[in-house]
Amino acid sequence: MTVNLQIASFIEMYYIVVMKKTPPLGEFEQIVILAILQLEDVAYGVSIRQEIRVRIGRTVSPGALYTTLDRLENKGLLISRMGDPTTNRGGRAKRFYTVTSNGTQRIAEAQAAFRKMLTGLGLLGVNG
Amino acid sequence: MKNARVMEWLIGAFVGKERATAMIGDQLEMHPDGTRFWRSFLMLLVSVAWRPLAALLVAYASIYLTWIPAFHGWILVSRHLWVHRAGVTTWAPNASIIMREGFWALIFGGISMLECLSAMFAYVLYGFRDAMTIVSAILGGLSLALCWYLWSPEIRIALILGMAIVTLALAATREYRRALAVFTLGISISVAFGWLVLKVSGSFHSGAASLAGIGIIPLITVLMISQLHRKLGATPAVSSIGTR
Repeated sequence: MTVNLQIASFIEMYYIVVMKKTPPLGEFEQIVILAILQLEDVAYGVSIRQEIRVRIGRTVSPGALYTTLDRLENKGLLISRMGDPTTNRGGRAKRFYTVTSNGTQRIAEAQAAFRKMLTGLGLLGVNG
Repeated sequence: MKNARVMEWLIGAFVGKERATAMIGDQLEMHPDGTRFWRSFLMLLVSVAWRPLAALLVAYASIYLTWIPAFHGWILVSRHLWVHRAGVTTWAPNASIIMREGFWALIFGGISMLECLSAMFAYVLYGFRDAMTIVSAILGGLSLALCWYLWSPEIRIALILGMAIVTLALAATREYRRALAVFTLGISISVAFGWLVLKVSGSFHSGAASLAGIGIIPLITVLMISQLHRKLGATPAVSSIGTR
C-alpha cells in the first residue's frame, strides 16, 4: 500500500514538474508576439520580419522566425489561418497569425515582470 | 519562378505542404529575383532540415548504444546453447525451449531497440518536454530493462506490470494519449514493414538482410514517428526547441 502511494505521489509530482510547467517566454518570442500585436490582422511572415526590422533594427533570418512562429502556435499562444493566393507570390497564399488571449496574457505577464525589475533603476527615463 | 514548386516540395518534406507554400510565397514576395531567392531558400532549407537530419543521425548512432542490453536475453540463451553443444556442462535447457525463447528474445530485443531509437529521435527533434519524447523514453527504457532481465520471471513480470501502470498513467491526458497512439502505431508499422523487408532481402542474400535490418528499418521507424506525429497534430511542424 505504501509503495502504491509512493508511486502515485511520484506520478503526480512528475505531472506537475515535467508536464504542466510552462517555460517563460524567451526574448525573441516576446518580440515576435509584440510584432504580431502591432500588425493586428495583417501579420504574416514578410510583414512580421519587416515590423521587427523597422522597430528595433534587427534582421531576422526566415528560419528562426518560422521556427518561433511554429513553436508559439504549438504552445497555444498564436493561431494561424491561410489567406487567399496572390499573384506576386506565384499564386501562393499567405499564412496570417493572430495572438490568442493566452498569448496576450503571457506577454503582459512577461513585460510586467521586466517593468518591476526596472523600477527605480532610471534606465528608461526619469523614474525608470 | 519555375523551380519554386520543387523548392516547395523539398521544404514541405520537413514542415508539411501548407506551411511550405506560405514559406516559399514569402520568399518569392521578398526576393522576386533569382539569386537572392536561391540564397534565402538555401538558408531556409538548412534551418528547417538540420534538426530532422541531426535527429536521424543520432537515432542511427543509438543503435550502437542499445544493441548490447537489447540482445542480452538472446545472448544469454545462445550462450547456454553453446555451453550445451560444447559439452562443458550437463546443465542446459531443452533445445526446443532455447530456440523458442531465443527467438522471442531476439524479436523483443529488436523492438526495444526501435523504441530507444524513437526516443533519441524525438529528443533531438521535438525536445525533452515533448510528449512523444517522454512516452518513447519511458517505454523504451522499460523495454530495454525487460530485455536485460528476460531470464528472471519475477523481474520480467514486475517490469511488464510497470509498463502497464506507466501506460495507464500517461494515458490520463489527451496529449499523452496521442503520443502513445503515435508511438504504438509507428513501432507496429515499422516492425511489420521490417519483417517484410528482412524476409524479402533474406531470400536473396543473408548479408542483404543484415544491411536492410540496420539501414532500412530504423529509417522506416523515424519516418513513421515523425509523419504520424505531424499528421495527428501532436507536434509543431518544425522543432519545439531552438531560438528563443
